[in-house]
Amino acid sequence: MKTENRLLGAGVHSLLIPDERFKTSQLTVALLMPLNKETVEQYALLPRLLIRGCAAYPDFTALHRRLNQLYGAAVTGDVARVGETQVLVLTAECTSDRYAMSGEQLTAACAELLSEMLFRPALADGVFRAEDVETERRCLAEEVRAEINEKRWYARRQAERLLCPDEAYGVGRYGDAAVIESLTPEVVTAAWQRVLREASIQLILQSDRALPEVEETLCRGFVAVSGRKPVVCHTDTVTRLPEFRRQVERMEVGQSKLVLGFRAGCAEPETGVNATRLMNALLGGTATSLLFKNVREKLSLCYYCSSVYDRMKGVLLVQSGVDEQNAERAETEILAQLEAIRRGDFTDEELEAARRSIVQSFEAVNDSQSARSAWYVSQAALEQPTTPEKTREEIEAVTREEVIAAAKRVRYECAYLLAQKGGTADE
Amino acid sequence: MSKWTEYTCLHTGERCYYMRHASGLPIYVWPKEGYVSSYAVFATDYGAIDTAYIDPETGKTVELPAGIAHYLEHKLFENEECDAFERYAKTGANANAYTSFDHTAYLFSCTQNLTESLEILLDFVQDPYFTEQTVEKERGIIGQEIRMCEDSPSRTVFCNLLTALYHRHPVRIDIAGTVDSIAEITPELLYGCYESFYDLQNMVLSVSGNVTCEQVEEVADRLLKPSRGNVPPRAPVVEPHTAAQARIEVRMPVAEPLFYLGYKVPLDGMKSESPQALAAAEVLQEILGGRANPLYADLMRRGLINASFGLEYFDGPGYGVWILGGESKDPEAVCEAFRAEIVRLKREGVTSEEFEAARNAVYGRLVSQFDNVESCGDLVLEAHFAERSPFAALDAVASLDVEAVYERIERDFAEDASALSLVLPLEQKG
Repeated sequence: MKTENRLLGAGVHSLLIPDERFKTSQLTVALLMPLNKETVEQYALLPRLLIRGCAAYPDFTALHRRLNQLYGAAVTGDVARVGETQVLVLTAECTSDRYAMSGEQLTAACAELLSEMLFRPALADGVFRAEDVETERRCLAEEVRAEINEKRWYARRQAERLLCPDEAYGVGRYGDAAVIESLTPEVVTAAWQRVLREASIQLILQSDRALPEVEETLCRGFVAVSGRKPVVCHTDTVTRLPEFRRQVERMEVGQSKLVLGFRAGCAEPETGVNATRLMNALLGGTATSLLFKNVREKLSLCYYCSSVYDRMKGVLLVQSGVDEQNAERAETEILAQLEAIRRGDFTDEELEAARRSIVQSFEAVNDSQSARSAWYVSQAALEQPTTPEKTREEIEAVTREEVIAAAKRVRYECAYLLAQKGGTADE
Repeated sequence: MSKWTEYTCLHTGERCYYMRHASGLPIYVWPKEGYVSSYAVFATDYGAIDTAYIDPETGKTVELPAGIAHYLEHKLFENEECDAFERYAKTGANANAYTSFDHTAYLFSCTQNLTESLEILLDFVQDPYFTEQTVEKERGIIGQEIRMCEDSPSRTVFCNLLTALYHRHPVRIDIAGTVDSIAEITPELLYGCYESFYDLQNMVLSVSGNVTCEQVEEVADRLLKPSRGNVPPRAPVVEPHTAAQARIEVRMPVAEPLFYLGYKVPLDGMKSESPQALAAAEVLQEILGGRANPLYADLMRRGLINASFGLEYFDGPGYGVWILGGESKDPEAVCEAFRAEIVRLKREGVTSEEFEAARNAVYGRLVSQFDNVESCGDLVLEAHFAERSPFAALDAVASLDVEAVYERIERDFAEDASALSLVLPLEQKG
C-alpha cells in the first residue's frame, strides 16, 4: 500500500490512504503546537470547543441529530502529548457511502462538518460563546481532577511529574485544573487563531477510495489563514535530574503502586531508538518479558509489572502493583532484571520472543484505521516520518549487542510509591 | 467445503463460515480478505454466574466458591511443563484470557505463525493441570488482582449496582470473588468445574482475519479430543421483579461522586433476549441517552454531567439492566431529570425522524465493527452463545420497527425495580 506523505504547502502535510478493506471513512486533522506550561490548558480545551458546534450547526442537539442521520458519524476532538509537542487531533468518522441504506453521501457530509468546525466555529461577537466555554472547561477540569480515580494511571502521572519537574513533559497533555477553569472566551479564541496560524498540520484521510476533494477543502482552509507561519516543535531529551528523587504518597488504597522512572538516554531521531524499543520489550513490554516472568510469575511480588518506553521523550517507566511490604524487594528485583540485560544475561530465545512480539504489533498497524491514524499522528512530530513496515525492518536488524548497549544507556532517576494510609515505608 | 455452512451479511456482503466439528465443537471462521492479522478465541459457555455444578458420580449439586471460573482461567494457562505464555513466545502471538459473567475466553492475535498458535490454544485449554502447589501460588496473584479491583471506583460503582438490584441472580456477585471466597478453592474443585463446563459441546472456537476454513479444520482434526457429551444446563434462578435495595453508597478517594442508576428488566428463564429485543434496546439507548436527546445538552448546561455520562443496556443469561451513569456533583438531580424524560417519552413517543436517525446511528456503528478483526471474532462468539446467527444483530437493526422500542419503554423502567449506586468522595476531616 502506498502511503506518500505529501507537503501541500502552508505547512500542511497530507496522507491519502484509500483502502477498500474498510467500511468506514476516518478523516483526521492533526495540529502540532509546542507543549509548554503557558499554553497547555488553552490547547487542551480547544478541540473540545471546536467539536461542540459550528456556524452551520450552532446548536449541540441539532448537530448530534445530524450526526445520527449520517449513520452515527462522530467527530472527536482531543490532544495527544507526543514528546513535548501537543497535538490537537480532530477526527471525523462515518460509514462508507456504499453501505448507507439509501445511498446517502456520508463521507462528503462528514468532511464538510469537520472543515466547518475547524474554520467556522460557533462564535458570538467574534469569540467562542461564553456558555460553551464554561461547559467545556468545567468538563475538562473535572476530567483532570478525576485522574485520581484510577490509581494505576494516577501513579504513572505522578511518576512523570517527579521525573520531569521542570520540563514541559511533566505538565501532561491537559495541564492544571484550576488554570483550565480560569480560561476565558477571549483567551481560547486567541489560541484558536494562533493554532490556525502556527500549527504544522498533518491530514490523514482514510476511506475506501482516495479523497482528493476532502484534502483540497481542508488545505484551502489553511491556505486562507492570513499570516500563516508554522512553528517548529522541539523536545528536550537531554535533561537529567541533579539527584535521585523518591516520593511516597499515602491514600485510602488496598494495593500499592510502585513506579520507577528512568531516562532512556536515547530518543527520536537517534539511531538507537529501535534497539531501546526492543530492550524495553525484553525487559517489561510483553507477557514473557523478564519483569513478567521473574518479578510477577516466579517471585509473585506483584499482580502486574511492565515497562513503557516513550521514544519521543526518551523516558522509560516501570509500573507495578504490589503489597507495600513487598515494594522494596520488587524495586530491587526490577533493577536486577535491568542489570541482567546490561550484562547480556538473557537468552537468544528471550530476545527473539520480544522481537517477534513487537514485529507483529507493527505488522498489525495497517489492519486498523485507528492504529494507523495514531501511528501517523506521532510520526508527524518527526522531521523524517517513517512507516510501520520500515520500523519493522529496523527492529529485525537490531543486534544483541545493540540491546545491551541500550540497557547501559538507561539511568535510574526516581521512584514513586502510592501506598496505604498508615503504612510503613519511608515518607 | 461441504461441512461448512456459509453465512452472508445481506447489507455488507461479509461472509463467515460455520461447522460442527466431529469432536462436537462448534467452529466459526470469518476470513477477512487483505488483512495481515488474525484473531482466535476459544471459549466456554461458563462464567461467574455459574455457581454450582452437578457431580456426575453422586448426582448431587456442588456449590462453588465465588470467583472460581476466573481462578480456573488463570490456572489453565499452566500445564505440567510450562505456561501458555512461554509457548506463545515462540510464535510471537499476543495472547490473553478473560472471564465474564457468562463465559470464559482464551484468545490471541497474530500476524505470523497462525497454525502454531492455534495448536497452542487448542492444546492448553484441553489440558488442565492443577496441584496443591500451583493452586496455592496463584492465590497471591489473584488476591492482588482483587485488591486492585477493589481500589477501582468505576468497578465498585458497577458491582454495587448489580448487588443492589438482584436478590438471587448470581450476576450480583463480583466475577473475581473475594479474598475469602478464593481461599476455599482447591485442585479438586477446579477439576470438577473443568469436567463439567469445559466440554467441547459447551464451547466455541472463532477465528477471524487472515485465515481459511481448511487451515482451522486441519488443526482442529489433529488436536480436538472427543466431547464427553456434557452440556450442563444453566441452573434457573427465580428472581423477583423488584430491586433488592433502592440505594447503595460507599466512600472512596475520588474527585467527584460517581453514580450508576440501574433499572432491572423483568426476564424469565436463563435465555438471552431475541435479536429484535436487543436491537430495540440499542436504538432506545441512543434515543434516551444519546447526545441528540436535548436532555444531554440540558444536563451539561446545568453543570450536572460531563463526558463520562452515558446510558447502556447490559445483558446476559437471565439478566438485563439499564445503566445510566457517570460523574456528577448532584447524582439525584440527574436521576430526577432522567425519570422525567422516561415519563415524557411514554407520553409523547418519538418522531419517525428521531427513530430513523437513532437507528441509522446504531446501524453505522455495527457496520464499523466489521472493520476490526478482533471485533469480528468476538461478534461471532457472542452470537453463538446467545443462539443467534452471526449477522442477526445487524439484520434486526435494519428491519427494526418503532413499536419494539415503545414496548421496551413501557416495560423496562419500573421504579420499584431500580437502584442507585454511589461512590462518594471521602469526607474531609477537620
